[in-house]
Amino acid sequence: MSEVRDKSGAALGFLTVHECATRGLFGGYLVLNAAGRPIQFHCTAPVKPNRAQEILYGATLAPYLYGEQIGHTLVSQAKDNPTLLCTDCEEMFSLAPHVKQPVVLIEKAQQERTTAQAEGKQLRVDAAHAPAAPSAMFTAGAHRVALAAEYSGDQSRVTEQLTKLPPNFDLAEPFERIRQAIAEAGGAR
Amino acid sequence: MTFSPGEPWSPQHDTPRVRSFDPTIAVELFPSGLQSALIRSPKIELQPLDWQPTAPGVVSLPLAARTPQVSSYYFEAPAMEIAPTDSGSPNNGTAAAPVPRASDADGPPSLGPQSPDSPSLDFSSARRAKTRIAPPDDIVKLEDRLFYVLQPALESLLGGPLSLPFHPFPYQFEGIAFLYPRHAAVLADEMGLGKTMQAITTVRLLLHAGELRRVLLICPKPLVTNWQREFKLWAPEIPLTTVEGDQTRRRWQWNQADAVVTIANYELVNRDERLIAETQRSYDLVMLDESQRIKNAGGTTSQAVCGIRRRRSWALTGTPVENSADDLVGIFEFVSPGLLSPGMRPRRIAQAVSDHVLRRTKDTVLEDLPPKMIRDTELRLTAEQFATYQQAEDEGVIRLSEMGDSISVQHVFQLVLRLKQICNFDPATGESAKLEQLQADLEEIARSGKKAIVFSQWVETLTRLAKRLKRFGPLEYHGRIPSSRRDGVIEQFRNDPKSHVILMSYGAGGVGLNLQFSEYVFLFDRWWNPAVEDQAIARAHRVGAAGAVTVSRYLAVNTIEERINQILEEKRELFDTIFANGNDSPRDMGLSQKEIFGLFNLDLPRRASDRAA
Repeated sequence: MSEVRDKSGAALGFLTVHECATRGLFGGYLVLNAAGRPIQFHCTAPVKPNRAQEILYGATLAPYLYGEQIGHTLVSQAKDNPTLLCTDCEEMFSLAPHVKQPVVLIEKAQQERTTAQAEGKQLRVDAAHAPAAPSAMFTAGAHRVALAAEYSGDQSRVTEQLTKLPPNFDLAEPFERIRQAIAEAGGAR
Repeated sequence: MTFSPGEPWSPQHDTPRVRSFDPTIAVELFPSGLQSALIRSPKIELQPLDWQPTAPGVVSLPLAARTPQVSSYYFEAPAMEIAPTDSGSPNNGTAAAPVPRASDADGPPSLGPQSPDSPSLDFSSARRAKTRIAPPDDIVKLEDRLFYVLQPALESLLGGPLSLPFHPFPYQFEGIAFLYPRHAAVLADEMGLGKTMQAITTVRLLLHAGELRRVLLICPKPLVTNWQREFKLWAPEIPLTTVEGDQTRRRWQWNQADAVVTIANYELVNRDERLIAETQRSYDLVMLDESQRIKNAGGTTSQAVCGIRRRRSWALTGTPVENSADDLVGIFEFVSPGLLSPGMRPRRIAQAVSDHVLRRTKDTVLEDLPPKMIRDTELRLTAEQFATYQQAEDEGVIRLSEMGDSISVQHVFQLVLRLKQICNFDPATGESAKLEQLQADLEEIARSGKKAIVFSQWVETLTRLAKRLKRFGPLEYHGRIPSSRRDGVIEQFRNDPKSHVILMSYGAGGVGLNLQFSEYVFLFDRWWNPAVEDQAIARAHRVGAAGAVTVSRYLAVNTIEERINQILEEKRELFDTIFANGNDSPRDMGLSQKEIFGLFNLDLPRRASDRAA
């Protein structure tokens, strides 16, 4: 996707999926300008796989739902897309073949990691089942990020973009906004 | 036929021998006497078997998922983002405010840059502390609600290009988040919690977000320079226009299309009501400081202020209710006309305004503040003291009754003061039930090496106390102590271990002193107004205090002191009902003239106006 920042002001896109135990997966896509203010917001109706999909997609179900079904739909729906797509879901790497921008995994905040570890959650995806193995985390400006292994060539491009951000720009913070917006929108529907 | 191994067979060889077999099944007939014609071959019946297999049933599982439905929301890009430039036009708070740079007269005014010298706060240590803007209840449209939900955390907005000179307290961030999305808001924080800073910072954020372009601030005249100073501190890049001068100048100032923040005082707004109306201009925000000034909805000031065209209406006040719930009704005639009506029950008012009013007190928000224990000490005057008191009250009431229509509030007030003095000391005998109690309390305080502050409204009372409390090393701090000696008094009280008590008047010692090394405060007599008492108590009960502060409020039962206290308590109860803040006190909630007359069951004369004491 071409550089659209100058035309629309879109600087960064944030993609995440919020899992609701009863209703399914809600996708959210927030496009921010360089000042961190919202330009666009898109969210999906809940997506819930049926039993057959769960069985037959097996380990590939989450990457399919996150990247291809939800992520691709959201990005396609947006009028203008930024130069980077940030996500906090590793499964969203499966979106990378369908879009022109790099899909960047943002390192979760230390606090969130600690909480997850304390709850016994395993955040690691077994390499044998992972659709797109992440490359190692690297530092871009003041940010810790990762790319899918097969897109590691985008590292310099990503670094260049993220270095332009102010050092105090918290790349993990917009995902919280998306979750709150999904809750707000979900309650309104 | 015979072959030898290796010999090829040839048809020319001998005709082979053939052995034939008769396949006929031999049937042996037994002589049965029956004719052979009756012989029957065995009958074989063939039964066909269907070997064609049936097709198995097929179950098709739909795997191709439909594209999920997407809801999309688009937000306008802020009209005024901070653009780093090296030219500066900071506000200067003068009448001739700098004309903001504007591309054209009708376009949005541009904000000047921040001073390059502005210190920038590092919020990195507080990156996890995020204050989010929540949409208020009266915003119904989902798109509008999402606009606020999706705004960045305030800490990140204020940690970048918009720097602040000081790190705000978390409750101040919450106050900004409260004001930011609201079109109708009352920020009613207790005095000293930084309402000004919260309002200025919110205005600043909204201006830079392009949500505001023209702001009018109305405040009491003495506070205009304070607001100019605070704007310069907290939002140096925002141009200010202060309305003042003769009518021609003011007309020009009111007509300035590109003024970003205009400051005017109430008196001028009242006087220039027509001028303001003539401009036909609308403000994005009109903000009132000390908004209790418009509590009387029928007053000319209220009408002039409410007549200004505006999109947002904010009111700042530490005393949203001074005398009755109708005070708040008056303020809401400006903030959200029609939301409240005169005579509404306090509980209904509380319900109606809950999303529009934010009220915090020092006790609830300042974590570093030590606990404060209030102890009401009810005392019975000595027999002789009470007899003197009773006689003075009876004679005084008779005198007031005989005055008829010539009675004024000053006459009643004089009687109240006289009676309160008797509650302190019996002028005939010098007896004092309060002094006896104070001596007993100070014994314990002195024994434990602690220090106490005693407040009274009369210097005479303080000097009498000094004579009777010699063994506690008393120091005096009141109007009769020359200013040049006062610092020395405080230093001695702080450092002299033999000095256990300082005797202060509310007027001299009520403000500006830091006596947090004192753990005990005594209100020997009560002031009319809880706000003044709170200021006095705050000398000891402040950030940095060593431990809990105990406040003893002396009250002579069956006297005028008890009646005054009862009225103030009723007001406090009303206040708590509306603002649901049990740890609060009604600031500036003094007694009205009607209430002062009511202390002696006297009717308010018709010509008297209902002004607070």
